[in-house]
Amino acid sequence: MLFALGCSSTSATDRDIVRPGPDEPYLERIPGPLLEPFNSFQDALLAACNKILTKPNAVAGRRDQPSFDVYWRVGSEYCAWIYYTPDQKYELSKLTDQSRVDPADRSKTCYLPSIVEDRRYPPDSIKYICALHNHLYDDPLSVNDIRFIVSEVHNHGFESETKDGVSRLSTVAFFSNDRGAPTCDGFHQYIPATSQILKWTHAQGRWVCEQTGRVVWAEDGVRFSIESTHAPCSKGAVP
Amino acid sequence: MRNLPLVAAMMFMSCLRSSSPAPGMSQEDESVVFPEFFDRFPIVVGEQGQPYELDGVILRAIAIAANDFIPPFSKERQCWDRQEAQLYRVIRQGDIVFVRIDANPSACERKVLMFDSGVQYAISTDGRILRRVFDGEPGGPSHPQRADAGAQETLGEEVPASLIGAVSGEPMSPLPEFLRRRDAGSTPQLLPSDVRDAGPAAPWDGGGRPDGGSPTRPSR
Repeated sequence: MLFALGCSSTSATDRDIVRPGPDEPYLERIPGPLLEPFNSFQDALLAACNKILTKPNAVAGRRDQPSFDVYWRVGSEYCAWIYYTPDQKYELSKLTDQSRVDPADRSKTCYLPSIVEDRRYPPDSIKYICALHNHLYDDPLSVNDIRFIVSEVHNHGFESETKDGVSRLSTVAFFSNDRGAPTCDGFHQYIPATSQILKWTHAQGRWVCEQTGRVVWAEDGVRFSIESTHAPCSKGAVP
Repeated sequence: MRNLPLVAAMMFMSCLRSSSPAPGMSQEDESVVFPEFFDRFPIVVGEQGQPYELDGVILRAIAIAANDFIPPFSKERQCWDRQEAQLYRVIRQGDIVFVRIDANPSACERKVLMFDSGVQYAISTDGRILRRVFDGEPGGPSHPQRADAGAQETLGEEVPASLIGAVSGEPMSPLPEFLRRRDAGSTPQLLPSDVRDAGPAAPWDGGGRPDGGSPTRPSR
């Protein structure tokens, strides 16, 4: 019990997590799958949320809770992919916590490889559905979270056809409000195809979605700004 | 055994590496409030053939921030960990130059997604680091959504469990140039409408959906 507060954010023997060795370059491929196949994206997403948030120090709790700053300082971000296979299943890749080393432990990052390596399938047959990571508390997506999933459109496209219709590529940051017993209390999501930033919250058995922001592109298509909005998720059309 | 709590506390605290101020930063001034860096479009410096002039104070502030975030000449670095692989956004307000640093996705091969790797600095015009805040670090809004959080009544809608993570609005039309500009033969496109519309209607607007699992259900 006491040693659960040890210095390392993750166990070296945790088979769910992959990372490069010391002084090795960042991993550019992440293996999969981590869990059993899922029949729906929702099942995969919720399983991923619970899996990631229960990893060591993935949750710092609420900002107004005692010792939040300490828990944040020792926290870790984990990242992974949900992908879709030729067997018409949704899969979760393994997790990684590779990141830039910050001597002061103030920078919490996660570097997710662009490519999933599932040896059961040819690389080109895998469809990329959602890039996942955790935030240590309920904190909006960062600019880099948005920039990099947009850049990922170049690798994987805006949309993929699945057995359930069209899946739009998105990125998600899970959070939990309870460090002691982490549960999937919500996530922030950005969808490049619609430019929407959504916030999903889970309380008392209900899931609620609100559009909290919108990415606005300049005419040159390179510059962008982020506009704060308050709208229902299904009405957030972009002009 | 009686000392176990103390031992545990010492172990825990030993995990916290020194958070002493960076060189050039005597003590962080937490009263410094950062401006919003992304509530409008920036002016991009560096257009081909176009002359630009940069105030030395601005240049020094950028250099101080860049050198603090990624110290130069320390050792061989991976592409993403180099100063030239970052984007620098600057806002001057009075005696403070605010510098925001984010990874530039087009600077290196796109083989990783970098979550939460940004940082912002407040640099005084006489060259001191007043404050430094990393993405996600508690201590100040760095994002319009966080600044606004709780200020307005929520407009959230309850969504069936079968549609978690799969609700969104209409796609952008037309696609931004940035997203269309690709190497020949690999341009990303939205799927044709007949494919996109192939799925059943959203259940909460009356359609009902027996299989309960569409990845994305655009509003109609």
